[in-house]
Amino acid sequence: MTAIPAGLAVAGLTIRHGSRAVVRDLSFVVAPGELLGLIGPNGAGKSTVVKAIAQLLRYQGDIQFNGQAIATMPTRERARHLAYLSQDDAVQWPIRVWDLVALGRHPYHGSWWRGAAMSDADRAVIESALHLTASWSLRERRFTELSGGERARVRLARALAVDAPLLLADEPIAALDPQHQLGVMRLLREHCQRGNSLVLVLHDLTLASRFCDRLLLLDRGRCFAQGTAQAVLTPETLREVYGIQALMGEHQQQAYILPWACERQ
Amino acid sequence: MSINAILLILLLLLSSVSLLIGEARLTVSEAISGLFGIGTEAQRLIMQEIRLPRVVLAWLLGFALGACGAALQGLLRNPLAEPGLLGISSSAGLGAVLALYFGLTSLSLWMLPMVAMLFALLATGLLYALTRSGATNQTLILVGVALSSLAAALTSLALNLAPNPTDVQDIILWLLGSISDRSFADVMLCLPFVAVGLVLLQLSAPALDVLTLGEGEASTLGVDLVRLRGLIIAGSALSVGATVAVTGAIGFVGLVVPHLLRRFVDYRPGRLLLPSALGGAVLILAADIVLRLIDTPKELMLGVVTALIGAPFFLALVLRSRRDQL
Repeated sequence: MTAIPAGLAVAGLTIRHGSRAVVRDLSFVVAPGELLGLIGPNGAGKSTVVKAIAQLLRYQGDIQFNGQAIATMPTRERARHLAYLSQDDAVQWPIRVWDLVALGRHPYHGSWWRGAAMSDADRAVIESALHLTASWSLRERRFTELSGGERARVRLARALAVDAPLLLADEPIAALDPQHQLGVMRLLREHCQRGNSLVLVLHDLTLASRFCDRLLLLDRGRCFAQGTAQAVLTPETLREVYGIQALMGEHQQQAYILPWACERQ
Repeated sequence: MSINAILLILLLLLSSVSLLIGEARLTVSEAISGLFGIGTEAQRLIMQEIRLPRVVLAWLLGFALGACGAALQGLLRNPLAEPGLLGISSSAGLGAVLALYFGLTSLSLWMLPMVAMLFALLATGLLYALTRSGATNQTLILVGVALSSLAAALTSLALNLAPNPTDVQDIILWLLGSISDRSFADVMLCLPFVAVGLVLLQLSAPALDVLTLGEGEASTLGVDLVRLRGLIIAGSALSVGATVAVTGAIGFVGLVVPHLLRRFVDYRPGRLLLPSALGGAVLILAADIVLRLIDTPKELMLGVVTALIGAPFFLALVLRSRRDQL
């Protein structure tokens, strides 16, 4: 008898858009406390994989969290287990930042009428999410008046406010300046150290290499390589998958990878 | 004081004014005794059979249009959504005209609201199906315009083919939209549907707040999108369909009211439903009072007045949203 694996386990994931398979037979696990970086060129299927785990797409295969199929969890329970931060900022109204982050508590509240009578515990989680993302000072501002970087941090705070053991974040640092990129990567790292699992889509190979426990390199919907950064981010794989030459080196025992030249047009 | 309390007080004030004005000049005490059925028979008739149904109908109509506008704007995540603009009201109107034209009303009094609600349901369902297939906001408005035009064309066809000139006169007067000369029978005809419709819309409130984040993130927060859309489509069709069947199509209330009130609820779409319902009733009552006070050779119709106020407002809103790249 095998023990029920803790954390996220994806097995044989295949996703089709129409008749075309955009993700084929993908399998991976993310243990509690582990940060998995999902990398790959544009169109490799990274966002599609994350959406499938979040149950936003039809798929074939098996996606389990702590031994339970995510697809068969009751909606509310699933919402407490899994937080999803989409790539697109789709926020519509000029809602207050505090109210927006508070929406992350929705899975813990009655589903109708007032719906969101916040408890002190809820408020503490929201405050902590705002502090962690350095957006506490923004809490009274209107979301639509924020800069791109501020929006990204506030949306991340919203996802953290769900306080779920599995976080799926699709390019949360794409809109951030270098300082905030490092800040957010550190905070995501700490989020994992509290025992949470994290699947992170990102493009910055240096940050991926420095902060992720493991990387999964997708190429045209297939797993090209997965493992530690040293194993995955080799000059050969970068050439083959991205078509680039990179400057690779080490600084204070940490690798850096700088895309330098195109190998193919 | 909360925005809801202010609107409620305003609503009660306007309702009193509406009960006190009219062609028959009654004093306040006469009006009150008539209202409670202790004055003369004439006073009782004027108050209970003429003025009170008008006020109650204004409430129902305003509740339905205001709440439905707010709910549709929240669901479609579009400040330009409105039952009139999206063709829901005119589709309900077409249903009602067809029911009149084919004499279905002789089968049962309930046929008129039933057919109107069915057509409202079809229109809302079609709009919804389009948003599912990824239609942009502009497409949605254009489809609404097309639906309205189609409903108007078919309504004109019914008028064109109507054998009897008095039928034509009746249909046209009804189409202009009014809450005057309606009886309690009319009120009771739409009351149950409006009540159920409003409950369905209010049930959608918490999910509408979460939908601010976009459909994907809302869904992962436990919002059942299918249920949410079902609630709002059914709620809109019931409340708007039933009121249109009694009052005719009255436009723009659902557009103007949520827009004016949104800032008072911190732009939270779920919180906007109740104030929009109250605000809708305030607007209808105010417009109805104004058109009764203006001295015109013939009494102005409510639908004409709301369209005269609402259309320029809509134009300004479109121009501004283009500027803000909404």
